Amino acid sequence: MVNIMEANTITKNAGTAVLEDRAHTGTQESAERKPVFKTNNFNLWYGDNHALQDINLRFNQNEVSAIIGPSGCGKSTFVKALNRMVELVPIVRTEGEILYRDQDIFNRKMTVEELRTKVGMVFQKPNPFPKSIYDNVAYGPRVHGIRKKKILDEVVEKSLRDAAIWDEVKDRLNENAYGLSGGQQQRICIARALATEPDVILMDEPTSALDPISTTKVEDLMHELKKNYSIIVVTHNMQQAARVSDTTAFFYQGYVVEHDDTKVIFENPRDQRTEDYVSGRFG
Amino acid sequence: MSNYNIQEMIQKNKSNKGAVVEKSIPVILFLITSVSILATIGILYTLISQSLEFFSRESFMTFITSANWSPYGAEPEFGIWALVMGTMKVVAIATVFAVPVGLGAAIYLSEYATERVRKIIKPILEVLAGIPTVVYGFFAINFVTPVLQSIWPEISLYNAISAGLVVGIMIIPMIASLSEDAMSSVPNSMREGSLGMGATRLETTFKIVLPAAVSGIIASIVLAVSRAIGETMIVSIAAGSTPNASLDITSSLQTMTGFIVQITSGDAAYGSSLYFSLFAVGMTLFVMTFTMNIISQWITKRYREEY
Amino acid sequence: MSYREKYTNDLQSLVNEVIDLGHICYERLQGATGLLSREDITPARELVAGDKEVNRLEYNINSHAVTLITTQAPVATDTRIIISSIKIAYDLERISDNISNLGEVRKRVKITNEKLLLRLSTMEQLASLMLKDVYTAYQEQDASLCEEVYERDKDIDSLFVHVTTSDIFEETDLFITGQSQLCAKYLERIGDHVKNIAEHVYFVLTGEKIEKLD
Repeated sequence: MVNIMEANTITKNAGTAVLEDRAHTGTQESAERKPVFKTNNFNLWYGDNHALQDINLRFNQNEVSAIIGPSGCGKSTFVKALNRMVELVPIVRTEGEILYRDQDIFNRKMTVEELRTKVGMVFQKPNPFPKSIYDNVAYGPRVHGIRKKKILDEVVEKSLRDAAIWDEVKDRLNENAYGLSGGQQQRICIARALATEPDVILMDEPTSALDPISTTKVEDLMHELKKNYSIIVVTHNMQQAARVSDTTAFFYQGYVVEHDDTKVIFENPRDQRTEDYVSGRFG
Repeated sequence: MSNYNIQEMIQKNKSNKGAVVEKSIPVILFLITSVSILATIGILYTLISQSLEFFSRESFMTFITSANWSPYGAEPEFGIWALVMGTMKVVAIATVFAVPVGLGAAIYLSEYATERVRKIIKPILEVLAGIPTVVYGFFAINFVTPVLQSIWPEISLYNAISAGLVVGIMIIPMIASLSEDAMSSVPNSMREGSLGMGATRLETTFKIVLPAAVSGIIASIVLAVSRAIGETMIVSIAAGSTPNASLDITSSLQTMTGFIVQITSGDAAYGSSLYFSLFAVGMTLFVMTFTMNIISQWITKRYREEY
Repeated sequence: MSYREKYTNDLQSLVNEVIDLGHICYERLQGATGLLSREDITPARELVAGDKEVNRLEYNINSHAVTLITTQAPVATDTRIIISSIKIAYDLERISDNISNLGEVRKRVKITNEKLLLRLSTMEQLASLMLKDVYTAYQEQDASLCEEVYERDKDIDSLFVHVTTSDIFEETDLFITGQSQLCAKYLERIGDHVKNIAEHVYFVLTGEKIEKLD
């Protein structure tokens, strides 16, 4: 599997484990965008397994940033670290910084609940609660003390509209969310995440359990959402990363091989391993 | 290269025996099942027919309206409320004690305890569930009652509180174990969905996990209450044999089950009203637990969050 | 229900870029032979300088087409449109180069032979009409118009043979004769490239190659 990479190292640098993060110098526009997340030498261990090594990445506002890589490369782990969901596993240990808008997320000044209202998450398998559609979407605001029906009604409608599913469910808000199809359930989960008006939305392989049409709908949605939110999406489908994202980071065995504008990653990557991965020669 | 042909060997081993066995298994299993069905029918038939015999001798209206249960003597009166109140006092105390403790244990084990802690606590609960009820009864009268008496001297030797508390202890494992099973089978993806939106662990437990597990939890409570209603040994030893319909939980009472034990272990002349009253009381017990079952099914259907 | 709005818009942008390039080349062609006889060299210089912009636009079209292919995995008509955009842009760029070359000729010499100029001007107009019609064929999705335009290149070819072999022009200056023949060549090449464009548009519309009727 690895022979091609060894043979073609003429012009590509495959030696160093970490390349400088170049995404923000790719285009002038990108350099002027503010970062929403920045990681500094972030490391993570699952017990003895050094799952993430010296991650230095920067994610910009109002962009769709994709994270790709073969199974087990640490991409899901990384994204779950961004909203500290990774702490649900007891044997996890971390070192290094993750800054959300220049604030260290591990610092006691920001509670983990606060972080998670600003950084929402959509999971791989749609996981709506076994409640009505309305209660699903209103869950976030309610749990954070918003109780007035009028306000909740507005939030629910806005979130469902932003998730491009309002027209399909507006007449059955009180029905159980489980009556919807998989693709619709995932969009309900997206609406649910939008209800707290987060800043960043993390998506962990959001379409891998969906049929092609639903996948396309969610991808179109990502494009719309980036006007008002910043999106970081993990995907094992490279073509999806190519279609939807502005920047792409390639993870391999726990470290970042390359991170740049999507155009560069897919048309002329700097690292041979990136080229081999995106052309499907390994992974 | 193999020198055998799998297909040939399969063909050679084919026999007709398989088809016959396949056809007869459902019939055999049905016959086995019908044993339990026949037993149930038999018991019900006995209860109903002998109760009807009782009601042909004694007034049905008195039975269901009177609070005076004095089956001995020259002018016996058979008012079931005395015994029903006795049972209810014990069951109410047991439930009020066991449900919070059992649920609390279930929530702790399911949502908060680490794997190591669970490995220790769960077996202990199993042990609690395995203690024979006669030992519980002994424990009630010889330990719990004296302790209670030292705090509230007004409590008599036989009372509802001791019996109720110990019956409660007996049913805790039932509630805890079944509720914990119900809560553990709520998929983790749901908890993650809630936590991902900034809810705390407590909020997640009460707003997502419990509602989703409610049918299992209610089923466990109903089961426990039914068990408490039918509990015989503990109440026979610790509750007393003085039927009365008062709400006093500090003095002696008699439960329906206690009465049945008292009569069957003593002499009741066959054919007497006393004798047939046993079946009437048994029928009442059956009707109560059966109704509980129906109610719980209605409740869980109404509040079930299907997933 | 239509999805992939961004992709659809990007595809349309690519097509618009090609059409714009086509318009620019058409404008450049108008009167190109006319300035061969003018006293003032400035228009010729401007004509030559204008080629830089065409090169830049062609590069952009290629770049956008590559990005679309890499990131959107097009199929069917989309693929034909994208591939043909690259090819048409190339032919337009070559047309522009040949137009520039006419300007270069004027920078070297003024051509005044009326009979020659008439033939050259005719070739220019024929090519110009072909370019206009191939654009119409795309707009109206008219594959048979593509075939007609394809055939009309023969007219330019005959004129080319005529200019380079006939002796009716009474031109005595050998240098001017040579330069005039170069102009005819450039115009003939322009006709060929428009013929190619007709072929590419036919391919986009039908998915097939034009059946050559010779």
